[in-house]
Amino acid sequence: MRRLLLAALVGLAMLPAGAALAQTPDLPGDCVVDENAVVQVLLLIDQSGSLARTDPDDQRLIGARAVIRSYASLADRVGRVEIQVAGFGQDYRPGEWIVLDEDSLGTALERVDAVGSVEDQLHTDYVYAMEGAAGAFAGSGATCQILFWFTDGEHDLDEDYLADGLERNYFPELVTPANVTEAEALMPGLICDAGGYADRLGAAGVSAQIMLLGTESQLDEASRRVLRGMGGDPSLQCGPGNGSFQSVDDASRLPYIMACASQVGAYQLTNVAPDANGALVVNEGVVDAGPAPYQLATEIRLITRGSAGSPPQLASTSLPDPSTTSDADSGMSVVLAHPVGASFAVEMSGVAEACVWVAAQAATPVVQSASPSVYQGEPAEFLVVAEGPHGRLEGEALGRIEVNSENGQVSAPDRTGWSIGVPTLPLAESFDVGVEMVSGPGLIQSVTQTFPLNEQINAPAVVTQPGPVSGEGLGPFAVDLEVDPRDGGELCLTEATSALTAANGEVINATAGFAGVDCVQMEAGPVQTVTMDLTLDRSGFAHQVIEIPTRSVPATSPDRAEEGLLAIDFEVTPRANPALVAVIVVGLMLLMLALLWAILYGVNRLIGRIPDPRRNRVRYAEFVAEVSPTEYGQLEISLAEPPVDSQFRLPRRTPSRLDAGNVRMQRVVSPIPWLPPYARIGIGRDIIGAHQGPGLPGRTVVTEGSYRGRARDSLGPLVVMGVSHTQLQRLAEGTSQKAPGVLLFDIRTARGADASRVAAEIINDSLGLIAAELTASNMVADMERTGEA
Amino acid sequence: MTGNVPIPGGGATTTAGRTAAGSRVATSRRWFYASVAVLALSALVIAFLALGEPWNLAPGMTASFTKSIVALLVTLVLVLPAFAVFRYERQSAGGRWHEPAWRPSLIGWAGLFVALAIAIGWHGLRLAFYIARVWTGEL
Repeated sequence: MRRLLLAALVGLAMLPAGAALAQTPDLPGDCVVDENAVVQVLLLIDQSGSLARTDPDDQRLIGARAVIRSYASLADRVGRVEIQVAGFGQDYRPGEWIVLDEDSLGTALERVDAVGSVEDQLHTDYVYAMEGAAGAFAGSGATCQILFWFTDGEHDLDEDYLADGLERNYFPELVTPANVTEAEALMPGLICDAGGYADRLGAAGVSAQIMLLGTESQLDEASRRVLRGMGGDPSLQCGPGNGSFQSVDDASRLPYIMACASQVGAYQLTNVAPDANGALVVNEGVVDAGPAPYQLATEIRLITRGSAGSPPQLASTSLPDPSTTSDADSGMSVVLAHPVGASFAVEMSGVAEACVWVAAQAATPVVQSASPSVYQGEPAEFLVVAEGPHGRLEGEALGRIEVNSENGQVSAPDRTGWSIGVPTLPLAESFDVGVEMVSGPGLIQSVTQTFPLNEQINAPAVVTQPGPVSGEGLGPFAVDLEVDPRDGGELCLTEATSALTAANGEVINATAGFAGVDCVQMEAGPVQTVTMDLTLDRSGFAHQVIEIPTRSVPATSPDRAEEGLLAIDFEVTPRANPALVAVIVVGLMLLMLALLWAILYGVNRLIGRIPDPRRNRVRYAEFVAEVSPTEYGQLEISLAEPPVDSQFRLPRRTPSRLDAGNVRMQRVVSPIPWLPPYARIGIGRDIIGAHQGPGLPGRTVVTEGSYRGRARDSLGPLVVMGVSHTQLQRLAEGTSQKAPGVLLFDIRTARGADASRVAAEIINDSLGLIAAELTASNMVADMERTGEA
Repeated sequence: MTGNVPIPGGGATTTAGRTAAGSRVATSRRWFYASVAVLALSALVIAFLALGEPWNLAPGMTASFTKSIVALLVTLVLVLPAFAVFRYERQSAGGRWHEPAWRPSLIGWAGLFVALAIAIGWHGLRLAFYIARVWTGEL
């Protein structure tokens, strides 16, 4: 059941996604895929009993179904596909020709199951097989005939089953064990000699695709000559050698090999292989290394095999909607993807072997005249551009396309196309420019464009083709035409409406006119600029050359006229909603500003974080200071209880806060990102006095409550002390007060008793500076209170 | 008055500390200059991606579309992080007692604003037109 399911999936995967336009020609025998082709395929399947041993899981059925479906995918690209499924062993068991299409596909697959599952024939007789095949193709009128021959072994009339004798039409007696060697020896001659079956098949135009389940080296020489000779080795002199041969010694590889061998309507990429890790990458560069530019590829078929039980997986792809089918039993996966003419990559993993096929569509030449009107007996230049399945080809891709024309000299391509120069146009009513565009092997498109030739009747003429026009919405779009009035007259648009094909396949009608009318009157004079308007009936994405025929009538000879063809490279998009554009741009700006703000704010938080005292070996020590008024009204602060080194403690710290005894440092980061972050430092008293830094170069602060410091102040040396308003009043009354204080100190600078001494020195120095600052601020406060100047 | 008060990062007993601080400053300076270089180069790359691009992004213009997306990604992945590094090192470098000796911040800010202006003003605008057209076209 799983194999049947896989076969169905493989077959489905082989079918093209839509009405196939791919014109890659590769069919066995170099048949051309076109709408007139009639393809006949004879699927000849071995039914010998040895299959029970060589292919016990019937893997050949999966492969044969893939063959059927592969050819069924051709049905909508050619006139007719006919298929016959026949079996052979000791006899040839013919089938019937079935016209293969979507409706008859099921019947053909049933036929495969019916024929392919039989393994009851006792012998393997190549002569009967080829005789039957030749008979099947006899009198065929098909343009393309293919014999897909599957066998699991050599030509063999098994002695074990010859006891009663075996009648052979090419041997005069019954074949018995006594004469079997003699009978078998006739086989190569009957098939390969002049006038043999191989010749007859070759003469009928049949191409043989031979699939051997087994090892070629184990074949006897006669069987090898037949299989390899018909399979494309002309040195073995067995038929025309227009076929192909493949052998596979592992039945589990049979579906993979048969699926690869039966691909039609595509070319194989030979430079593709998985790397040592089993990864397979197919991208535009890989496809471009094939015979055609990647912009022409319409379908990529990756047929890959991993190992039994572990089929390759599609790891990633940039192409939309790839179809993937895989089968665990045989370890085969098939991925179908459809390129869109741009860069792409398809990556698979777990790949042991792979064959990659590309279906491509030939580029179509589009011929335009360099000037709208061309004249008899004058030189002319014609421009050729290449339209691919995904739009116009430009740039380097053009260098891989060959353009031929018998009507003029073809230049090398520039970035947009080719030019064809014609030295002198004939004295005729029209001139045919035939162009053949070769995009790759078999990818050939030819067109013939007819241009009317005019006599010189001095009617108004457009001098040069207008430049590219682009715009949005419905128009009108102004197209400036350089018109030479000559003797004056009338310039008209004979077919004012042209059709554009939008990107979504819809048709957009473009109507041209001169201010609402089809004709413009011109007086004799110098070259003038005439504005033509283009108006669309609907909006859409389109980029195309639109052609508008013109007709000019001279004022001097109203009965005569000359014709021209305006070619306008026109690109249009729907009109963008300005409000939506504004919203998107504003949204983008807001996004960027938000990110910028986040960066600035985040950096401020990082910068403002409190340094880790543990990492910086910072400790704190609490002390008690004695504040005393002097007889001169100043304050004096001395260290009442100096700290000793054993009292040094590690502050508690988070990035936003540090607690060192009574001292608290709090990080403050403003949401306004250009305001720098700071640390608010307090000691829990009404008045805080602090000295930061090494002595005089440091900073002394005396203020109410807390002060703004830096986060790095926590690294010390920092001496902080606090007093209350009550204590200040008592100081004013002449009473000494004790005030708590804290020292933050880097203990790397001193150790042991030395640390105690250094700490005392730092505190004493700082307290002196704080006392001076406190005295000054106290005096100012007193003066403010008393109103003294 | 300052006497023997040891200065963190200085003094005879802190040779190792001073060396470590010097190393931090040198590392910080390298990060700073690297971020400025990334800012300036990214601005140039984004400007380069804007050269010769059509105003009317349409379906099928995969290369142009990719360039715009790449420009915005460069802005998000390189410019803004580089500016973060630039800003951080600009503010934090220089050790405990001194401002950084280097202040070439103009090229950093200029790189940021040039990159943002081109990324939003040209690539972003084209993408906005593209989205708006597709939206309008489908409605």
